[in-house]
Parts: sequence; structure tokens; C-alpha cells
Amino acid sequence: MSSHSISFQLNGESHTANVTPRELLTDVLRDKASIKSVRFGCEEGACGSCTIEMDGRTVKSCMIPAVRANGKSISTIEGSDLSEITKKVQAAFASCHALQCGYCTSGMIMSAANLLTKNSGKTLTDEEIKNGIAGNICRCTGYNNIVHAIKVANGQAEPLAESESSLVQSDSWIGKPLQRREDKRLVTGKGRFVDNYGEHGDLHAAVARSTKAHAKILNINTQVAEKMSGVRRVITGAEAKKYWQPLAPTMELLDLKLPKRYALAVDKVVFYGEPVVLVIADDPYIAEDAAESIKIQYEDLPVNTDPTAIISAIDEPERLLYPEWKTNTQVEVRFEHGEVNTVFDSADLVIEEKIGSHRYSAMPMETRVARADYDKDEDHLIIRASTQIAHQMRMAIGQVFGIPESRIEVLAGDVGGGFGAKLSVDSEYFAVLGTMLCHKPVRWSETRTGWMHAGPGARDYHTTSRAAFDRNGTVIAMETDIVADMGCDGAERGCGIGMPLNGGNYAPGPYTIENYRTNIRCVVTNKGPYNAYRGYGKDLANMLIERLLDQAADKLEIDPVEIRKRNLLTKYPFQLVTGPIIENGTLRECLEKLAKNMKLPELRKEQANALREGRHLGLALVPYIEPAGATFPGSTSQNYESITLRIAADGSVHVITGIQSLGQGIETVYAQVCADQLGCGIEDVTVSWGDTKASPFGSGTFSSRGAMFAVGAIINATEKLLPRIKIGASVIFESDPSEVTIKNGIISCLKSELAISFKELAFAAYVQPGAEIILADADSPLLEALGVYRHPQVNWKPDDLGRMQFYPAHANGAAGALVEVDVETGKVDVKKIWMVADHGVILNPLILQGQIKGSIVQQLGGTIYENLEYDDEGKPLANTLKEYGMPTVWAAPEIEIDHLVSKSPSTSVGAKGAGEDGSIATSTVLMAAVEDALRVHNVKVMSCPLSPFKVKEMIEKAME
Amino acid sequence: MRPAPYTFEEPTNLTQAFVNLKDGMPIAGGQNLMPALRMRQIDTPCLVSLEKIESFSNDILVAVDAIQIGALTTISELLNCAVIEKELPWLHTAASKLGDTQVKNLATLVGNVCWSDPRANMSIALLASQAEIKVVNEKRLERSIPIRDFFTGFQENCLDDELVSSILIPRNSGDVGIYDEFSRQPNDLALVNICVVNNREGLTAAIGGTCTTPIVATLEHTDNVKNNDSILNRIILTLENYANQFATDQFGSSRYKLELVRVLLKRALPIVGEQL
Repeated sequence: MSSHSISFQLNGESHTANVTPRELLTDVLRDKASIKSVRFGCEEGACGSCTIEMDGRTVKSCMIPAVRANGKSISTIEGSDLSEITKKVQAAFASCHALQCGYCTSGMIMSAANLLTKNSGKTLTDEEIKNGIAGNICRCTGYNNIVHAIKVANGQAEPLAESESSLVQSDSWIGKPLQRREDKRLVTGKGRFVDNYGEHGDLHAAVARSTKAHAKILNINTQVAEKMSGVRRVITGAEAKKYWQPLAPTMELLDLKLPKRYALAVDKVVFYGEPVVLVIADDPYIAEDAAESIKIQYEDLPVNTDPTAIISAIDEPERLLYPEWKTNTQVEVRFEHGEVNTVFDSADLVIEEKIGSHRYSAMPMETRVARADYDKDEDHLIIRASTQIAHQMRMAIGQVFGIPESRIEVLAGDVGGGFGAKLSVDSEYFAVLGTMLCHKPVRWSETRTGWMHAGPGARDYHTTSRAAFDRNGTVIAMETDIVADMGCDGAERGCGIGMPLNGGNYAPGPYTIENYRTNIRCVVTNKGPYNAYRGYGKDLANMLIERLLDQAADKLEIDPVEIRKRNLLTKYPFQLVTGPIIENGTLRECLEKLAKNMKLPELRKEQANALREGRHLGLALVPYIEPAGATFPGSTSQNYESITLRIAADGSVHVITGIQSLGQGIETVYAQVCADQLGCGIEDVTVSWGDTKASPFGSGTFSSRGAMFAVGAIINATEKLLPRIKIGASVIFESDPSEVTIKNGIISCLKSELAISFKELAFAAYVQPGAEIILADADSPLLEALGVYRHPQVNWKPDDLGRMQFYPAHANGAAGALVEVDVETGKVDVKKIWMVADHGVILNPLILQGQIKGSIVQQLGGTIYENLEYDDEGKPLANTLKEYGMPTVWAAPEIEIDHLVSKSPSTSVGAKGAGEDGSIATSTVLMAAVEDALRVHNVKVMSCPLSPFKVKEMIEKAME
Repeated sequence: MRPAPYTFEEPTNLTQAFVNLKDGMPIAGGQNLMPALRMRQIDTPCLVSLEKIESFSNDILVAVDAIQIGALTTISELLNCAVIEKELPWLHTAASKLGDTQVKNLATLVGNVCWSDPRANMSIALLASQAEIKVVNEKRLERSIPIRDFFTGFQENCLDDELVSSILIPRNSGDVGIYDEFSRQPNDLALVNICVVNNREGLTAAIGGTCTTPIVATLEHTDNVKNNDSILNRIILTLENYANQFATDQFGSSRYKLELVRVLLKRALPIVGEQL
């Protein structure tokens, strides 16, 4: 293929490159011009992560063959000649917490700056701002802070954050809306994402995927691929078996069955898109050419996409995904307590509904990406990956390849969103196998279509749920029958299997229900894998009880808020019938405050007026609990976290953690906690993560655990170092350690008014006069400590009823929604979401609210727009972000957040887990609000998606 | 995913362009083509850029009776044309709802029409405007195709080894019209879209999204467009002639899409009427 020499202006400097015609401008900028701020998020020009300015206009560089950039002038966020407007936008993004993971941020800022440049000096409406950034998808923030930041950059609004320098005199860093430290690199395009670490000469992996949802592999022809120039290795699943073991499960608890599949299919495929053949080649283009040329012959097997189908192992063994199981049920769990049947039989009212949700996905903007580099001589493997669980990835890779973990390093810098979907190891093995066979670094970047077909799906619940009530609206019994669609598997390629289990376990909610039965079946079908997604079944639990309560309120003509008050727990701690203990909280208070904040009477009036004009407004309120800090026996989710705390000889403080940064702001919040606890200056604290060699073993990021587990570990470490500091200082002060106080980096003596800095103390301990003098009486001469936190409210010893406490903490809150439904088209317009949330002591309100807003819009997207649907042959209907229904800025409603605080008993700081509020309550409250809007038509809303088509169907069905 | 191999040509004249096109595909803005190439849904041995062809331009020429839009005029450039905004607001609306800023900056009007997607915003607006497609062949012979004869199937048109050199939109004072679409989110793929234009001869409605090609209904001498019910029914009747082409997908059944069209028209017609 002929190559073209092109020249273009790049950030004000001339640049030349030799390119082949098919090379995308994004690739050329990244790999031939070291411009790493332009990133791939899709194949279709939807996500905007690759946005650049070309000749003054924003364009998506992945939609341009580089050869067409010849003679053009290109600007990216790396430019040293950035306009004042761009700099203002960068500053405003940081001061408004308008980014979390930062993957989309460069492109978003390019669009925002271009919009402001075009409209210089003009005050912009929300509509105009949204129009300007509609081509840039952000999965984390929920967009509201982005719109706000653009207003700040345009002089129309005030920043939301405070900077470290403006708060120097602070008594406590905890509780301050501190601007994030992460943002400095992320708003300048310098995020440390995996694919930035590629080097010239790296090899690239691609896979040939199954085009059948269920079939035997008869023959694989790789001849064309093997002969292609630039192809290093073509390896089928059958051959790869020589080099690796089956996928390492993330969970092996209860009596769940494991498929024991390999990362490449061996003799049959069980879902459309399953990897079958791995190709390693010199560049990603050749790797894809080779993968595409591979011919695979299949013999069809019957496809099942219905998890509720009853399959007989004797009559239809071919319908089983894994015939050795003799069933398609991966695990079944039952629990019963109380007099369920009797109470149902004698109840005044029984509500029974089929409640459920469709399948959708976490869909972070960065797909799964890995770069593996195996040094054969040293027998040492370094893998950089986009993961939430660096240590568990090390474990899995060690297990699958038989490499001692001591010889594996997992590095994870900035991760472009996870939300639970990066809690397992799956396609990352390709990069490892590639480097082990080819002895060169191998890069694997999952395509967006690859994620759509073979990435982690979630939700997909099908239930029959019943509740029995007395005439006062008291729930006296409940029963849930849950079937969840695991796709091909929920415990190896993903760890979604716990979602429906949580759903059944927490369905009685924060209500005093004594008689309860649940039957939960996790069933495999010929769909892509099933993984954790923010909310993790607590969304299902909320949906089941709250939807039933609304039906009862309707039937018994009780106000929906009132029926909840009648049933809510009355004292803390409260043990759910299924075992979990809600330690403390403000459920009732949050609900009352929400009703007040929403100005319910006024809204009801507005609703009535609208209806007279033929407009259908609906509103709803639901309480929620947010179990946090999951720990499960037989899984990689353990009940501890650890950190290393170091004070160096210059007094600088280093916190190294196994919790992974995914955009949740740990670099900032842990520095706040450490500065408060240790008394050092916040500017002296550095937080690092994502390095299995540097940090002690950590469980990683999931289940909103950082605010308790990592914070607890930091406290534990500071408790070890503080006595040493005090002893050392007391020697210098010639006083007693009890007379030493430490604050804002100053170590002072109460009695003598002498004071030294951390630097002076540290130097005294490390060098002059040295630890044998100033730390002679301390437990250790080292100013380093391992901090470990183990949550006291976890209990893995079953009680008489077999109940355990897996979740040690329960944040709580209440969510409200106002929607308008167009009854003619079925379109749902979410006008506003309110939330009153109690997460215990707030560490950083800016970041907390960012998490809540982001979770609301994610779950709103899942409820209304997103859909991983399959046809009867098991073929996914969504191949692209657009087809999938990824929410853009237009989907983001107005959001109002308020807080109550009940201090958590778990750590001295008193924070509970946070970040899943919206994921848990949003589907429920939207379903309830849509139902409320359509009450005049007697529409029952028991399932999502609430897509226009489905809502219209609901309306038509009700009007039949 | 990344495209399969192709060669790249950038002819400066039509003669050379047609030689290159013997074995290739034209690319203007590429905003439909590039996703399809990247996802390897289509494959071509050669991409022929139209950008440097001397006789092709991005000019918008406003004549007394028509506006001529060049082969390379982008959607953003179209949106900046004050005459179009004033006199053809339905075309302006269709353009403003097409894709996002980045897409508008590269996508061309002609490209949007030539891709021949039955839901393409600009096709629908141009159909209702009774535009003419000016095409040229390798012998430099030109012909003009009424846009309603242009589309022959799903992403298929009647171009016969020809390139579109410009699009001519009649400029009749007194025309009133409206473009509307139903999509899940703004700037998203439209499920269905409609454009209704009323002028001296009658009313033209173009409808996208229900069939493999856009459908046009022409109603002559609609003296009183305010009698919406009968007009609406006549349009729907025309549409129903194509029932064998109706398509169902994950976003809605054909019946649902027909209902959406009915709703959009019902809302559009009184507005068209009021503007008269």
C-alpha cells in the first residue's frame, strides 16, 4: 500500500508524517506525533473523545483519514499556544468538578472552548451550551457540572470548588469542597491512561469473534491470516490451551457452577462475539485485517435468549450452554423466614406484579485496554491495564498462566471509568498470551463494538414479586421470585452473579417486614457476559419493594409518602429479615426533607393544571438504602484494605493504596484525610495507587468502599506514626510527648512554644541526629507504616437462619422525580431529580455531589435510553453507542441534592460509602413518576426500558 | 476498529476523478462513510476525495428563483447562510438537527443526500422543497434529477457513474414549511422525520424512517391547509401504499413509526397553516 507524505500545522508547529491512506488521524496524532489527548471511545464518531480543531473548526479526528489532514492546521489541548478561552475552560472544568475519570475531558474542553470562541462575549443559554457539546459523551459526571463550568468560563456563573491555597488556614480539610488534584493533568490532556504507554515496536492484538450465539466449531482456517505480512502469530483456542488455564473466577461461593471456559473458545461458542482466534501483528490495522480473514465453520446449536425458559437436560441437552451442569441455572438461592403463606392467605390486600429490568451496561468511555510486556530472561511480566482491581488481576494472571505473582507487576494509572465493569479479568489475557508467545510488548484495545458484543452486561432481571398488606397499608409479608439473565456467565468473565442475590436479600428494604421468602435463580443464556454495575442489585431491591408499596398506596388510597412512613424501620440498628444490619441513618428524615424540598403541594397543583391542558406530569418519591463496602466469602471482595504511609526525610508524606482511581477523586480525598489525621500540610501529601509492586495488597475499587476502608487504613497508619512523631519532637523540644501538638504541618510544643516543621522532624529522624537519638523510645525507628482497616460490622459466620452480614455500612436517602410524558409518542422527559442523601460525615461535598449526579444520569440513561437487546438468534442489536442509546448532555435533567448527616460508627472520621445513590433509586423513582403521569390512563409501569416505544406500548395496553 | 486497506486519490478535475472512481468511492465530508469503513461494513479499493476538484465548491449561490448549494458545502456552512435561515427555515431546522457540531463541520449537504439513508434529515427537507439534483458524468454531461426520483432503495440512488455537482432549491416567496423529527435525544438518529412545505401549487410532505426510501406525498391545491384532518389522512394514505416496505427495528414497530409520523404531521400542519 502506497504511503503518503503529509505535512500539517500541529499546535502552531509544522509537522510531517508518512501515512498509509487508511490510517486515521487519531492514530497518527497519537502514535506519530505524541498527541495523547485524542482518544478512541468508539468507531462511529459518536463519543467525541478524539475531538480536535482543524482549521478552526472542531472535528472528530477518528472520522478523518490522516492523509486528508495534509495542509491543514490542527490544534489539540496539548498546544503551548492555547487561547485564553481554552485556558479559562480548563480552569473552570477543574473548579467546577466537571470531570471525573478524565477520559472524555480533552475532547469536551475542545468543544466547549470552540463554542465560547465562536460566541465570544455572548451570554449563552443552556440550550446553546448543550448544542455545543452534544457531540461529546461523558459517562461520569452527569453533565450538569460541565454545563456549569462552561458558564463559569464564560463569566456567567461562580466556581463550585475551593482551591487548596485559598483554604490554608482551615481547621479541617475534611468536609471542604476542595478542587481535585487529579484535574491538573486531566484538563491538559496528560491523563495516564493505558494506551498512552505504548511504544514504537509494540505488537497489537485483535481477535476473530464468533458470529454465532451457540454453535460447535467445526473448522478454523487461518491460512490467509498467517501469510499476511506483519502478522506475528495466529492462535486458536485449541492451541492456546497449551499455554493457559481456564479463566480465573472472581467468585466461587455458595454452590455456584463455573463454566471453566478459556479466554478463547475451544470447541464451541456460547455467545455472539465470543473470541475464537487471537492475532498478534505489527500494527492494529494488520491485526484486524488478519482477524477478518479467518474463516470459521460452525454447526448451529439451539440458541436460548430467554432466561425464564424451562429447559430439560434430558430432552434438550443441546440447549444447555454447559451440558456438564445438566441445567442452565448457574446458581439458585432460597431464603424463607416467618409465616409467609399464612400471612398471604389472610391479608387484606395482596399485590402481585411482574417487575423487572432490561439489559444494559456500565459502558465506560475507555474500553478494556491492556499492554503486557514479558521479559523471558527475567521471567517477569509487567502489565498495564484499565482495571479496578490491580492486585486481583495479578492473582488472576498468575493463576491462568502459572506465573508466580511475585514476578508479575500490574500497573493501572488513570482508568477511563469502571463502574463495576472492570472488576474481572477477561480479554486482558490476550495481551499477556501475546507477549509470552512473541517476546515483545503487546497491546490490546477492545473496540466499542467488541464491548457491545462481548463486554459486560448488567441488570436483566425478571421477577414475580408479591406483598401482603393489612388495611392500614402495613406490609406484613413479601415474596420475590427472581430470575436474572447471566448471559454466558456471571462469575468468570464477570462478577454480576451477586446482583440478583443482593436484589433478593435487600428487597424487604428498610421496612419492618418479618415474613419474607425469596427464590433467586441466575440463569445462563446465549448472550454476552454479566458483570457488576454500580448499584449491584440494590437497584433491584429498591425497585421491588418500592413498586409494590406504590401499588398498595394506590389501592388503599394512602398517600405514597405516608405508606412508607408507616412501614419504615423505627429504630437503629435495624436488622432486615434477611440478615443485614442497618447501623444508623436518617431514612424518615430524608424522606420528609425531600418532600419539603420538592414543594410537593405546589407540584401537585402544577400537575393538575398541566393535565387540564392535556400535559401529563408525574412525580414520585422513594426512600433508598445504599449498602456499601461489600465483602463476600469465596470471592476477591475481602473485608480489609491497606495502605502504606511514608514520611520521607524531607517531610513529604506519601499514601500508597491498592484502591484504584477511576475518577472518584481519591487523590484529593485521601490527601484531605491524611492531612487532617497526621497534621501535616495538605500540600505535602502525595497519594498514589495502581502499582502492585509499590502498594500493599488491596482489594481494589468497588462497592463504594474507599470512604470507609481506605480512610480507615489511613487512620490506622497515622495512629502508628503519630506516637513516633511525638516522641521524636519531644526529644527535640526536651518535653513530654503528651505536650506535642501537630497541625497544618507544624509540630509544636504546648509548653515551650517551640515549633518545628515535618521536614525538620523527618530529617532529625532519618539523618541528624538520627533515629537512635530521637526515636530511641519509639516502637520503631521508621517513619513508615502499614495501615490496615477491617470493618467491624462484617460477619461471615452464619446465624441460626444462615444469615450473614456482607455489607457493613448503609448510607440512605430519598429520591424524587418530576417527569412529563408525551402520551402520543410515549416519550419521557425527565424535568428534575431531587435527592436527599446521608453518607455520614461528608469528606468532600463537591466530589460526593459529583458522584451522586453522575450515578443519577447513568441510571437514567439505563432506564430510558440504553439497551443491550438481542434478536432470537442471539445477535446483539446494538453495535454502536448510538444504537445502544448512550445518554448525551441532552439526557441530563436538572438535579438538586441535599444532605443529612448521621455519623458512621465504623471509622473515627464517620464517613459511609457513597456514589451509588442514583444507581439504586433512579430507575424506581422514574418508573413511579411515569406511572403517576399516566395515572389517568391506568398505566402500570413495572419494567424498563422506558423508551418511547415501550412506554407507548404500555399506554396502548392500558387503554385497550 | 479500523478500515481495511484502500488507496487514496485526490483528483483536481472531473476527468481524473471519474478515472479514479472506476475502482473507488467518492468521499466528501465522510461522516457517513468513515464509520462504515471503520466498522468494515463497506470496503473499497480506493477513496476518491472530491475536495480538490476545481469545478466543485462549497459555494451557496443565491439566484432570483433558486439557491444553488455546492458539492462541498458543509452543514455548518449551510447553517450560516442567512437567506436559507430566512426563506427555507425548514431546511435550516433539518440542518441544525443533523448530528453534532463536529459532524456538521465536515458533513456535506450533498453527501447526506447521496448516502441515501431513508431518514437523512437533508433528504427529507429537500424532498419537501422539491429540490433538483444536478449531476455530471465522465463526459462532463450534466443532467438534473428531481429529488423525488433520486432514491431507489435503502442507501441506494439513481446515480449512474455520476457525481452530484450541486443541489438547486427553488426559491418561491410565500412558501411555508416545517421540518420535524422524532429521536430519542436531540442530535441523535431520527426514528422518523417529516417535512411539509406548502406553496402555490399545493402541499408536499416528505416522510423518512418508515420505509426503505423516503416517501413523498404531494397534495395539489390544498386551498385550506387548516383542514388538517383531511390533509393528514391523505398523506397517511399515500404512506400506506408503501406498507410492504415498512420496517420494524429495536426502536419501534412499523405501526409505532407510522403513529409517530401521524403525530408529527398533526403537530406540524397547523403551524404550516398559521404561517400562510
